[in-house]
Amino acid sequence: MRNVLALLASCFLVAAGRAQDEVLTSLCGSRVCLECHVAKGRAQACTLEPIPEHAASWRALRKEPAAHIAALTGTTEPPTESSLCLGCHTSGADLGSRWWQTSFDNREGVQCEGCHGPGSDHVRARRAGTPGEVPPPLGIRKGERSFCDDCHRPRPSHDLVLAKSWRLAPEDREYKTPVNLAVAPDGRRLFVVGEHSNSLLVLDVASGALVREIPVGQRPHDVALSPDGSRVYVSNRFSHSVTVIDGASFERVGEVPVGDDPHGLVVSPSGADVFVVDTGEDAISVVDARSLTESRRLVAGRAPWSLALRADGRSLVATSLRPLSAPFRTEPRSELTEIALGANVARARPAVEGATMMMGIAAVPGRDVLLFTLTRPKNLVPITRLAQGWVETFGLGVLWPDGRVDQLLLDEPGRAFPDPEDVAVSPDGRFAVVSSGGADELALVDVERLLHTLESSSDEQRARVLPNHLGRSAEFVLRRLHVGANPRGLVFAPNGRELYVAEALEDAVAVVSMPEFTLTRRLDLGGPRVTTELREGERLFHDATVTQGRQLSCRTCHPDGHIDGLAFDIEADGLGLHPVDNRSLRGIFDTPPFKWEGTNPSLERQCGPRFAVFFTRLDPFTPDELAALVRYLSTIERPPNPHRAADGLTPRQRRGKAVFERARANDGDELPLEKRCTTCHGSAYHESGAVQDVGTTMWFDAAMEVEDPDLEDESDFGPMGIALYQDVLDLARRFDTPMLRNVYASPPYLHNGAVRTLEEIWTRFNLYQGHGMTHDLTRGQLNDLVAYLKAL
Amino acid sequence: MNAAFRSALGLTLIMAGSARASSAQADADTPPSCVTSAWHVLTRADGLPDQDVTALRFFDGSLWVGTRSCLARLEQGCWTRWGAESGLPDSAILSIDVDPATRDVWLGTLGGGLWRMSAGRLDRFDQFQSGLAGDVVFTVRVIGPRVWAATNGGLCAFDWVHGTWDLHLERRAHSPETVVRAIEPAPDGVFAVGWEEGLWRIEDRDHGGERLVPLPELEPVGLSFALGRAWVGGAARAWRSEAKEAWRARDVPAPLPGAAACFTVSDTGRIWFGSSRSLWLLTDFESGEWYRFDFGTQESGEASAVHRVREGADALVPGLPGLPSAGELRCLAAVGDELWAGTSRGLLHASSAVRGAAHACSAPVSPAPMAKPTETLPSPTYVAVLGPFLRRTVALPGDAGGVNRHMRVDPSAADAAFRAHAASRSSGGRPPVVVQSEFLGLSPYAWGTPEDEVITQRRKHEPVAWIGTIEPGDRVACALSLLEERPWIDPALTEPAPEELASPWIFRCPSQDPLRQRRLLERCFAELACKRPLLLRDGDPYDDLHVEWWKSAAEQRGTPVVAELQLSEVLKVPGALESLSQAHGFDVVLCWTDATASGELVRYMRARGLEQPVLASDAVVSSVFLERAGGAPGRVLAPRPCPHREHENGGASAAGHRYAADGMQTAMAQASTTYRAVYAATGHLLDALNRSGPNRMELRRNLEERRELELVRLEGGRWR
Repeated sequence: MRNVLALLASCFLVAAGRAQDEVLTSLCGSRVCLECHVAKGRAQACTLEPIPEHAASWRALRKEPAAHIAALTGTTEPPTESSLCLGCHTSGADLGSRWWQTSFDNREGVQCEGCHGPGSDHVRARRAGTPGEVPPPLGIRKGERSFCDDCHRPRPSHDLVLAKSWRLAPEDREYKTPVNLAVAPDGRRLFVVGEHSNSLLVLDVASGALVREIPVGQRPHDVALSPDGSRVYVSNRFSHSVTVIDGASFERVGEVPVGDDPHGLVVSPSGADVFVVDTGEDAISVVDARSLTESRRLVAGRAPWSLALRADGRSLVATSLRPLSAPFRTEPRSELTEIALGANVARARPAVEGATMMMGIAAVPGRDVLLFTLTRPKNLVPITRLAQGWVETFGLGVLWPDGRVDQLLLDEPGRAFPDPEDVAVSPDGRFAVVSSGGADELALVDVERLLHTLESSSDEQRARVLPNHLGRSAEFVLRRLHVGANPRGLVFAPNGRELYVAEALEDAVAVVSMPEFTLTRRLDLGGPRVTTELREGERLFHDATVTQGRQLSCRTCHPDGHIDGLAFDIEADGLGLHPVDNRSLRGIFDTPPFKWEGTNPSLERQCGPRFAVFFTRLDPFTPDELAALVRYLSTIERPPNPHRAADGLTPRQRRGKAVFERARANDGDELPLEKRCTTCHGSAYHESGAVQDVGTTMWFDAAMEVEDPDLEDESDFGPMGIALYQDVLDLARRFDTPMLRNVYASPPYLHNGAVRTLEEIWTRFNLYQGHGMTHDLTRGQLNDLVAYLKAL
Repeated sequence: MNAAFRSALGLTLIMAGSARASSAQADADTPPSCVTSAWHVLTRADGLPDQDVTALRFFDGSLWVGTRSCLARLEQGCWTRWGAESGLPDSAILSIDVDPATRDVWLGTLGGGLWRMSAGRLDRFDQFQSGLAGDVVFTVRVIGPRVWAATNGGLCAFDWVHGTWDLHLERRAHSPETVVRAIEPAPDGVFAVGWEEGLWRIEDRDHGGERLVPLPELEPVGLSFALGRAWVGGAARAWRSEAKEAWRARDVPAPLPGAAACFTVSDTGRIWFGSSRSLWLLTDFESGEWYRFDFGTQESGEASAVHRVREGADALVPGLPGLPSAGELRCLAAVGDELWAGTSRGLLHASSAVRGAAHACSAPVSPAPMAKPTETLPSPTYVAVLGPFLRRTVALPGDAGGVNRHMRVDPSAADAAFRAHAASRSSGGRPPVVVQSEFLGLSPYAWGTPEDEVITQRRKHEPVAWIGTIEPGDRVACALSLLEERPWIDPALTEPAPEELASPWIFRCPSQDPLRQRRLLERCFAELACKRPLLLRDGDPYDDLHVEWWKSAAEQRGTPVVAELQLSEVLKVPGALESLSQAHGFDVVLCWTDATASGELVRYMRARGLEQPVLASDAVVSSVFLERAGGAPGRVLAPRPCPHREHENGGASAAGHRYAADGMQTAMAQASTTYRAVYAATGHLLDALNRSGPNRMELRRNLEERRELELVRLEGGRWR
């Protein structure tokens, strides 16, 4: 009987232990700590000198320099609301307000629990215990001097603003930056999305006057009208929403939450549904126009960009920016997603071989054919053929009614048509116009000739020759027209006599008469007439003319300042050796060094003469140009993370944070410092600025002689043969610790992009636990860790 | 009204009453339409792409069919197929569901993880590159915005929009994994049934409050939710949930021919129960009226029939044919009175509506073929090894409620043994972890001789994986803690004896997680630095699954693998052999089991035309074996000296399998004797494997020419 009771008791204890795990600690605030922990009091006081600046650190975020520093970190929120700024200037920002007790006030700056961890359990035990009795330090972490280093590090942003007095120009906040536009069915009004002004500008077409500027969400991207023009819909990238505006009164009707980072949108012919691509979630949201709610979400390609209705109105097609997930070192393959209207389900997913960056798309009236812009990267070979046009090529794709896809280039030999942003087709279907954001140019395409070029070619030519032929564009490109800086969105007037061009970095809308294809006027949007240093830098970022043959701009590989999802074999060190994953540019200013090997201590070094040697193959930027470019790079914004709720981490993410910060393995043994995540990925940026070897070097990361090819473990650990490398030559390479902020948005991972998901970093590519001690993690712990990482 | 008229009226009334009584009686005797429906078998001839059907799903007028090699859809009489050329893995499809909002099709596979097919595009989610709990997905269900997967590693829910994975049941599991076989949505939550944990209810789908619902059924075969109730199929019983978590059961009236295999309840409350050789229908739970459909067999010529069993009385229903000849039942899908049954040799269909003949579509609806799969290595030679169910449980001292009381072990003695181990270790190398011997929970394993017994420990509910040798001492050479993946027994201190060097390794790992198994195995081999043939010991419930896994591992190592199938019932032997024969092929059968089962095995093989040699232990070859074999058994190889003549009249069929009630020593000694005999045979086999390599013909010749083995033939009813 005793044994049975003991057994029952042990079961209960086990169950109680599990219940304890479910209760997570919270922050109490320094005032609670100081009830006991005062100097010369009975409880142990902090061994650090009292630091008044800690208490004042939150207030510093309200001062004028903070906003300029925040701009240099890619922060979009006010500093007092940004988790990045608050991460160092207060305590508790990493957890979020849902883990703050009422006694905790983050406005009191850096507090005790910032170093010692949440104290709720410790306080609860103290209050429940006997007065004078020392409570157990439940959950309390011993403070280390090394904790200070996470925040007290040189930050270029702070240095530039505080020491060198850099400031954003007032005009930097006043630019409109038109990116897309739509015209009313009667042709009288033009609706222009102002990306930087967070507004929708309504222009009178005839006079060019600004009729109304309507505030919308943050970083709007696209605009679409209902067929009768009664409703106007605007997608807002950073608000993850669609703003709905009355087409007559121009008043906001509502705001519909959709998925992450919405871009293009289109309204169904009946007006009943609005389709919005959620670029950050690889999905398409279907919004019911009557109830203004999302009715369903559909799987799309990777990073879908825009949509177009087919001419018959029975389906629509979405483009995608990035290629589908595929085995490493294979040619990219992207997807067009066709949605059947009515049923509102995916109907087909035509593949586009060898192409990425499919952005603009438009239907050809009368032919049931769709044209879309594309880029054909040659990322699998070293970029030594810039002069021959063999790094990036740009063109148009054709989607036929039967699902067949063709590709043709808009480039000419020695003169690329870089960064095709959008395509518009005239109402009579005769002409298509494509905008080149990298060359400030429009191309006028004869649609019939383009289609004839394809239809008169053999299958072999269509599959293998035409997509790579630089000399065929002359057959169907009638003319090219130089326009203002960085042309993006295009739309024809309903009568086809005018084409409107959003000149994003000109802050204007160009009007091109058709069919003459001449620039007749420019509509001023009311922005600054001054080109600031930042604006100049942004123009350089989008300018491909700095590259030989205009072959690529920074934006070619970094659309929206982010990634194209490719790993590139850049250096001429052997075919297929040492590929490098493309890294995001969002919020990187404070994260030197740069380059995966960490050999560039600054952005100036990264983008300076070395950049010209490997990429542009022309004269490098002048010092002024370099300064402007670097300034712009520093301010590329990081979108709000949709995985992080406004009130902080979810319980699952909180558990993942505990795994991330753990100092002991599951069996209780202490983890060596080099095996802890926080050693390299500490601080508010979750990177240490150090260059580390974490055992992720793979056999193709450097040339090597394989002495014994009969290595039994080669294929055991995924296709990378990581064990082969480790076992044979024991070469190790160190890599710059990447920042983990918004890491959810930048697959693939590791220096060479060999890892497709976050899970794989530890399930496949951490064989010898060089990248953290993780083999003892349970499935649940790994899932929680990934959930936390996605919330950073 | 005159008397005659009244009489006539009365007579009429009586007749009418009689007629009504007769009519009511006739109604009661009339089988429902789901019984009288005509049965059809769809095979390849009818356009079914693969006859080995493993999963079924109705959706929106289409029937989705999962098979061993492909996915198929029957829609308006037309078949469409997706297979490896479309990018699907080479794994059987265990479960299918369709998202009603997006029409995306979700597939659970046998070792290939979870797949989504959306407008022809296939996306894979496995336990390496996603948060999926296990790559064996028994059941997939789309419930609201999440996709739920019951896997060999637990139950998980995937919110594909936000990319989050929730694990359920993990925190309650006694081991790091919980095998979950089935899930069904209910209005107030989700029901899930595990292998050893019974029935669970997830009460809050969003926050995952879990509660164990007591269910007196240890090994359920199926779960359904219909008519507002949960239904669970047991080994020979159908359970229905009642108020306040009570259950009512209806027993299958007669012993099931064949093991229980599948179970489903239609939306109208028809309860279907499938075993490998028969199909049962409980037409109404309250009335308890059963119908049994027997399969016809080609070999025995038995005609199929339908029996009604009501109130204990079993009566043949005249005029109704039973099931046409088909393979073993694997899965069921019922809608109203329409039933589809997947078998190993076709798709059975019963419907009151006559369906048109199905045909293959001219062009499958699928995207362009995916990239060519990497070249596969040649399959290694491996064998099927059959054994009895040797589960030996350890009861807690003083515990009166142990499931099995065959053996008792003094935990303090075992603990002392381990401490002695630890004390004898040198200081070099990594210090081993001394594990406290705690006996919690059921079914830890005991293996080996009493002197060198290794007991699977549970320290904080974590089991241990180990590698041991077969002979001579059944010694454990290396053991790794499952969670820590650190040595628990240091191989440096257990040097192999010379006679062991040819002995194969036995790898025993209770974890069902293939990733963990693989890592542990590699660690063990790294520690032992020796490459030998590998004997993989695994048991129920999914034998062929493990063969699938280890075939892959063996291919990569170039190691012959001896796949042992521990079968709880002798009657599972044919099914196991058949699946092996169809899916993997095998070269030699090594009989561990007793003479009864061995004889059945040989008879089955002969009937199926399987000519692989049978390598038997001495205990097998006996008169009992002869009787069961029913005639010339073909080629049986037994180690010399083959004492079969000694056992001819006595039979040693139970030697080693009778556990003496008087204590462990006798039982273990007896077991060890039998095992050693089997090991001897195994050793010969593996030595032959080592010599012949992957050449199968060479292997067979090598075996038959070995001086240590005697080729036994049965002639004239006697062994020669």
